[in-house]
Amino acid sequence: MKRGAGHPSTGPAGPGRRFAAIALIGAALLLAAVLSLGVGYYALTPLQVVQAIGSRLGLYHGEVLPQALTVVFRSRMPRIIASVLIGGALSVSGAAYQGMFKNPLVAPEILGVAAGAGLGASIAIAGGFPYYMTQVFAFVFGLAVVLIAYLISGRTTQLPTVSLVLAGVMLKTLCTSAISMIKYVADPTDALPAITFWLMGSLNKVTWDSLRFSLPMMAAGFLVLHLMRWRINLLTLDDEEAISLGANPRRDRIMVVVAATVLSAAAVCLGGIIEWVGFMIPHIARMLFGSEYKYIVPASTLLGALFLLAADGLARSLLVMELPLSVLTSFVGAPFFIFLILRRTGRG
Amino acid sequence: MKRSLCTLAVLLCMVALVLLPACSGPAQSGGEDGDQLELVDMAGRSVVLQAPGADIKVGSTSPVAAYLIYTVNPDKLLGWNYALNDLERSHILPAYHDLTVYGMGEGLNSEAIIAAAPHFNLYISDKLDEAAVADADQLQQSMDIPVLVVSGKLKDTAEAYRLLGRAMGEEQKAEELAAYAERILSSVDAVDIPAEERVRIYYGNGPLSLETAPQGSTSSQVIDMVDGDNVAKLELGSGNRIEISLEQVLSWDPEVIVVNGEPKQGLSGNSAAEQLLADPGWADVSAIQNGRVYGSPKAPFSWIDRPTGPNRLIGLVWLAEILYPEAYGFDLDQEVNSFYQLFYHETLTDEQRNGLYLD
Amino acid sequence: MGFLTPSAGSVTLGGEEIDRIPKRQLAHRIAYIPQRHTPVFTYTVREVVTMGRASHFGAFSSPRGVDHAEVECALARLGLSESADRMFAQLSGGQQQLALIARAIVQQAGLLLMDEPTASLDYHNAMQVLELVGELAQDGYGVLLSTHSPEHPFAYADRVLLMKQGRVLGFDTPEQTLTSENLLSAYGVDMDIVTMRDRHGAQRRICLPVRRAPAGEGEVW
Repeated sequence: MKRGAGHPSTGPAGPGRRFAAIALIGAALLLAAVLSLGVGYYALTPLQVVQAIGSRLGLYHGEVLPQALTVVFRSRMPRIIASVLIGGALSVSGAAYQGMFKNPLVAPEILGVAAGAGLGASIAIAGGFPYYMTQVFAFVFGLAVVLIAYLISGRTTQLPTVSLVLAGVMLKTLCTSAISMIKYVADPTDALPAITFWLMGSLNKVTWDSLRFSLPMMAAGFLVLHLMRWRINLLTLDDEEAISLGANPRRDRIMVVVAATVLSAAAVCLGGIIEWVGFMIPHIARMLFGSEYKYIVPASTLLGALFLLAADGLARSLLVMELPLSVLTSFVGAPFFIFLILRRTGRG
Repeated sequence: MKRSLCTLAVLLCMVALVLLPACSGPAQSGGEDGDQLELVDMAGRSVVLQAPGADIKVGSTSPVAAYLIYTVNPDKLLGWNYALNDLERSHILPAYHDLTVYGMGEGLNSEAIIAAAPHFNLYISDKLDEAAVADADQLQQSMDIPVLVVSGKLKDTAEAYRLLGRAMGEEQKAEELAAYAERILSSVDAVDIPAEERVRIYYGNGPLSLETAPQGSTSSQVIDMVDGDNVAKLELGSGNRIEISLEQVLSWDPEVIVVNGEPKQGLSGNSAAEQLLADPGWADVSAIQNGRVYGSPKAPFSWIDRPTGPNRLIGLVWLAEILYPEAYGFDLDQEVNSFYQLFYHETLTDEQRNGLYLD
Repeated sequence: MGFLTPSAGSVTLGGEEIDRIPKRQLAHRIAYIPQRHTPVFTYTVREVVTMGRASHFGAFSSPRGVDHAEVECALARLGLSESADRMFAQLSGGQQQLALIARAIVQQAGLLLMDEPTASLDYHNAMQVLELVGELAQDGYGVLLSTHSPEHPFAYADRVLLMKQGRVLGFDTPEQTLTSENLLSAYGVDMDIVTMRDRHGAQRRICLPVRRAPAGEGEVW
């Protein structure tokens, strides 16, 4: 929102205004979601969208093309819900990771969740399993990689955060090599393009069933992070300082890692690997609301949802062929990253 | 607190939205009135279609499905899955060159297909397992258009055509195609060359012809069926394009070489063959020394390799004549004429037919 | 604080061994004020002070009305109400210390542990902080403060623990502990302890390092 009088040393506006701002973003999200139902190859005006929804709810009894109903409810609605959930999940887990690792340059991919999920998905696709198995494999492998990273880091003597990151990076590299190998021997007609597309992120294959698989886990993850949103502030302090204030950073950190990881794994297994969202959105939230996680958690969630909703809208309507999501998010994310770095060095 | 209430509200909305369509989907696969056709497709799925009329369109979820529909009746083809290249255009009837392109694989444009409202979608796959069924079901669900699954295996061609013919209302034409396929396939089956007499053949792909399809792979199907002995027997069997080295070829020392060229670089099979004949590195290979290097014809579709459709039937004849002319006794020119007439709706002149081998 | 394990002996608080007390309870009794607070992320002063309330509710809760009230109270008491919305990092060193003290106050612990609170402060701010410490002591807080200055204890302390390189040189009232001999051992500097009265008539003690008489000169004064 607006900084007080544009003075650099004044913090963000008071709590009342900040909540209002967050509510505003939420409202914008809802509006965008409804409008989004009209976006795509099969063009629908907002009026037609409303008519379709109304007719489905039994409120509207006028003429509605069956194709319009199919497009809205079968084709687009699952995608829109998925983009909202995934955008929110990646962003809030990114915010949580950044706080937890006391490093604003961290993204949810850092512990290897995405790479592990990619490996799982590649195995499932190359192995010719039915598509829902791809989701299951991706989820399980994603969590497994983070668990292994955690176990490895537990055995080192370095700072827990540093060792976790190192273990994560190492496992990420391992997974990526394995994925390359799988791609090399995969059938170039169907398996290989499917794997490649998955690795770049696509909501093309989202169905109501795949949503039902991911939703409970995402709900749990969202809930935990939402409840712990103020505690994350304490995680940004030194462990000693946090303990002296009466917190239990070790236990809190574990809970946040688990929640954020489950969220990211559920998000990645639904829509493939979508980069930069988890890194970029928390920064934007911070620019608007300051560092207080009480606001960052809901703000990141909503902003991320809005962002990915817009990105997916573009992905399916920009060209006749479907664009992978990572392509779009990277186009925005990478320059943003550069802008951030320049800004920081400019200040320092 | 306000915040918790808001979040809770949002979560509830999401849950509601998810459960909403679980109640019922817009029920329609066949029409409200008119005859209905109940079929069991080749994956065992029961599919209900409306009785096919004369002006229906049939969609394809992959390129090979489109070819199949084209061979039965090009007027009923909804569109292609990718833009045709020049080679394909040279033998596809001009009227159908510029049909709408609907994408393939992950890039299949569901909404465009929904908008075009085809009678049904054809789904073709070599493996008719749970994965294929799940995939077909998902496509049917998300577009609300029936999906008919047929087998892509060469030996199932006749059955596939008969089923497709019923679904499209083109039983007669489909029967002709099926009969042709059966004749070729049973002729090939009837001849069994004993192991010691099998000709060792190397099948090369790519700009240097050093990518091969191992024995047992999809791309090697035609070779295996005419009892050619594919020299490439590799461990990682599912791949269709394995990179090997020249050394490997020299150690295998095949008697016959068939090369595909590289369509993406405009290298025709014929040119690739000439390349090998002129290449000193290959000079020691028996096939080169005996001049038994053949470029595979590819217009409009490859005779022996992908696409994995009925285009390969003529490849069986061609390869049989190269490897075992006495054993099979096909009249190649005659067969090529019949094939192109039946499947591609073209009457070839002698010149055109000879030109096929140069492409 | 329970961070280091004693190599010998034990640390008790109110008769209980520190190690036995759960950390969250410990926070209700001891508050730690670090010398410096440099977090990675920029928080406002109010947000920093609010973090002191952490031990008053569970991990799944956020600060409630009563917490905010305490925070406002502490800010007002330390004169930080107007700066409450500014970024912590923007404040002067002295004000940052005050904010950290406010954070300790909202923790509602009885004992305040301060690690060289005046070390990086200018003279004015240092005096301000010390005044505050004195007031807090008057209000009933226990204060354990570490310092390098031999004079501070005279002004404000009831007891002094004088240490050098891990050895205890004295633990008693300032008058008893801070003698010339002890200070010479501790600092290696010769000092006189001078008692005098300030302008208000209160008795004060100061440390006066003795200047070595310059060679060849007699008494100048």
